[in-house]
This record gives sequence, structure tokens and C-alpha cells, in this order.
Amino acid sequence: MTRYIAALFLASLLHADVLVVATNPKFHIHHLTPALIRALYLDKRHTLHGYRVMLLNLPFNHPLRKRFEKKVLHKSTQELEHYWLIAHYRGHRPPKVVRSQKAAALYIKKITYALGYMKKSVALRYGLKIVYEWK
Amino acid sequence: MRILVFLMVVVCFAFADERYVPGQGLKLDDVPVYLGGYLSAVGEAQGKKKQIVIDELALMLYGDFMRSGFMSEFEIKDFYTKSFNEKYENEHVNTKIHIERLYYSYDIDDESEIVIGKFLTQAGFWNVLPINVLRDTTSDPNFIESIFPEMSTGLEYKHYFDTTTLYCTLQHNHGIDDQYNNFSLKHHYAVALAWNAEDSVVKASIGEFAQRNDGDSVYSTLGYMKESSLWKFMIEAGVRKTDSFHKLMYDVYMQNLWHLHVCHDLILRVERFRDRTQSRSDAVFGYTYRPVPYMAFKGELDVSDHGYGKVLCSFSIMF
Repeated sequence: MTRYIAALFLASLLHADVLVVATNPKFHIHHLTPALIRALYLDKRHTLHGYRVMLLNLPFNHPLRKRFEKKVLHKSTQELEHYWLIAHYRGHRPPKVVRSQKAAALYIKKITYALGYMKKSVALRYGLKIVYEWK
Repeated sequence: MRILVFLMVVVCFAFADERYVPGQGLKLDDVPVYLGGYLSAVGEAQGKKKQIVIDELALMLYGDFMRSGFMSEFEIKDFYTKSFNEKYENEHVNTKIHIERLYYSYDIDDESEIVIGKFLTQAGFWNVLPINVLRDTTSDPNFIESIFPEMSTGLEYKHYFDTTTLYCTLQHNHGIDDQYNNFSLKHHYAVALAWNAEDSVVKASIGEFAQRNDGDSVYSTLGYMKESSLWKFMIEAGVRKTDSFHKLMYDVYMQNLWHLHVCHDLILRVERFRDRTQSRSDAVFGYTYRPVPYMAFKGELDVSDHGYGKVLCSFSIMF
């Protein structure tokens, strides 16, 4: 019984730590590929189903941001800073920086076409639609 | 034009959102419109002649809403110049404002976009990032001066495939503020393709243009760029055949940039070209220090097989 509870607890921790990209349940997208997520965050694509997407980012030194940049975007923070400077010159905006995963979730709940990354447990807690999950 | 730009700046600051982020522009309150700009100052020493120039001073106003977007960019080129040698000193202030870019863009669908107005020609790597703070070195390679038009006025269609982007340029008219372009165009038709891998890009273009005071030209460019966390390598080649010049013009350069440290880069570029007036080989040794991403201090030594050499240093910033 103890082992069973410990296994459940460990599974929940692993589940909680899974990195996901989430959006508002009203946004009519169901699944994004890693390539498309990269294209959106690297200023190569700007719309999904004809709607201009509002991308979210966590603060500069947030560990989850570092993980997302390394695992998904394959770029260092400095490279991305330069990327978004170029985007500003081209008339495009960098992802909006929000203070925390909770702030990102609340923003996505309010803005239909917003997209952001967070831990799976946060996305589920706020009833967001998960469009990609890194296992 | 000056009054219009001045009024634009005043109105923008009056309605600005207070949350300004350096290098990302100023957002106007409650509307998706942004004000930004850039500045560059260059010091140059060639033989006994020295010069200090504020060579780039520009404002950008842009925005997007749903599928539409717009960009306007007004620049004063060589706003202030001071030249001096042992015998004389000369100062000049230029306040003529040019239209660098002015266009409307529309996302047709998730994969395609149309741009109407005046925009940068999609040819090569340097031409699409023509400002000091975004470039690797103070100077540009001659590549962007003589092979293709730097700017086009007309229509550009972009289509995004998985790893490839197609650009089609159609200009069948005179350009907006065409004196502020390397060629005064009557028409310009071009196609470009960019193949993107994770850490490399291959870009090719082909085009045809006619100048108002000169003959027709056809051109072609091919470039390759590969990047790692420690270095960035670029090589580009272009050829241009024109009615009014009996020889084929060409330009090829190769550049490597080493990231010595997060903020410090070392650059070596070699270039060989033949244009209408000369045939030459150049080498550039450069160093760039970026204390923050939107600011750059650069130093550079340019040498040529024609025996001339010059030293450049610059400061540039984007806001």
C-alpha cells in the first residue's frame, strides 16, 4: 500500500513537471507540432487559422524559460534577444513577458488567441487546452 | 515631411504606454502601434583624412491588428558630418528625411503574406538587416551596393513552406523616394528562396530590373550561412549582367564571426568584386562589443589590394 501511494505521488510529480504549450479552450486549434511552435517563437510564423497569435514568455531568468529555450527553441537567451531585436526592426513584436506561470494561465484564459508554455499541472489547474506536451 | 515626422513623434509620446523596454520600442496606449528607431555614429580614419558621421538616425512606426500590419520608417542619412585633416576642418548638417520603408502587409492565410509599398529587397543576408546595430561590422560588404536594388516599391508575396520560404517581388513603377536607393528603378521583378535547417540557411535569388537613367540588368545571388554557439560563417556570391556595361559584374565574400564571449565577437571578412568602376579584393578585421543586445561598439580595419586602408569605429543603438 505504501509503495502504491509512493508510486502515485512520484507519478504526479513527474506529470506536474511536464512542459506543455497551452492555449484558450475557445481557440480552434487542437495540436501544434514542435516545428510550428518554434516557427511562432522565432518570428517565422505569426498566425494560426488566420488569427494573429499572442505569444507569452516567462521572465528572463525563470528556469522554465531556460528549459523551453534550450529544449524547444534550441537557442540561447542571448541569441533570442538578438532575434527579437531583428523582429522589432521588421515590425514584429517579441513574446509578451508575464511574471509567472499563473499570470500566463490567467492571460490565456482572458485572451482567446494567446499561447504560452508552462507546467502541465498549471495548464490543467486553470482549465487550458494543451496543444503540445514534451514527454 | 519634417513637420509630419515631428508631429508623429509628439503624438506618439503623448499617447505612449509607460512600459518601455529598451530595444523593443514604445507602445502607444491601448492600440497595437509601436514607435522605435535607431542611431549610429561612425568615426573613420583613412590616411590623413578623418571623419566623424552620425550616419543613421531613424524613426519607425509600426503595428498590426488581426491579419493586417504596417511599417513606416523615416531616416536621416548622414545627419552630421565632420571631416578634418591637417589643413582643414569641415562640418555639415543634413536634415533631409528619407522614406526608408513604407508598407502595408496582410496575412492571406497561415502560410502566405502580401506586402504592398516600399520594402527591402529579399536578396542575400545583409540587405535585409541593413542597419549598423543589427550588422556584424560597421561596414557593409560591397555585395549589397552593386548587384541588386536594395529597396523595391511594389508588391511582395511570401509563402512559407515547412523549411522553405518563397519571396516574389513585383515592381512595375517608379520607387517611393527613389533617390534614396542604390538604383532609380523603372521596374524590378525578382524571386528568392530561403531554405532553413536548424542551424543553417541557404538563400538564392534571381531578378531583372531597369533603371531610369541606364539599361536593363539581370542578377542572381546565392548565399549560405551556418551558425553555432561559438561562430557564424557566411558566404555569398552575386553576378549582374547589364546592357550598358560590357563586362559581367560579380561579387563574392566570405565572413566568419567568432563569439569570443557572450558580448564580444571577432570578425574576419574577405571579398572580391568587380563593379562598373573597379575590380578589387578587400579584407575586413573587426571586433564588436555588445554590452546589451540593442547596443553595439565596433572597431574595424579595412584593407584592399589597391593599397588603401582605413580604420572605422562606431557606436549604434536601437530603441
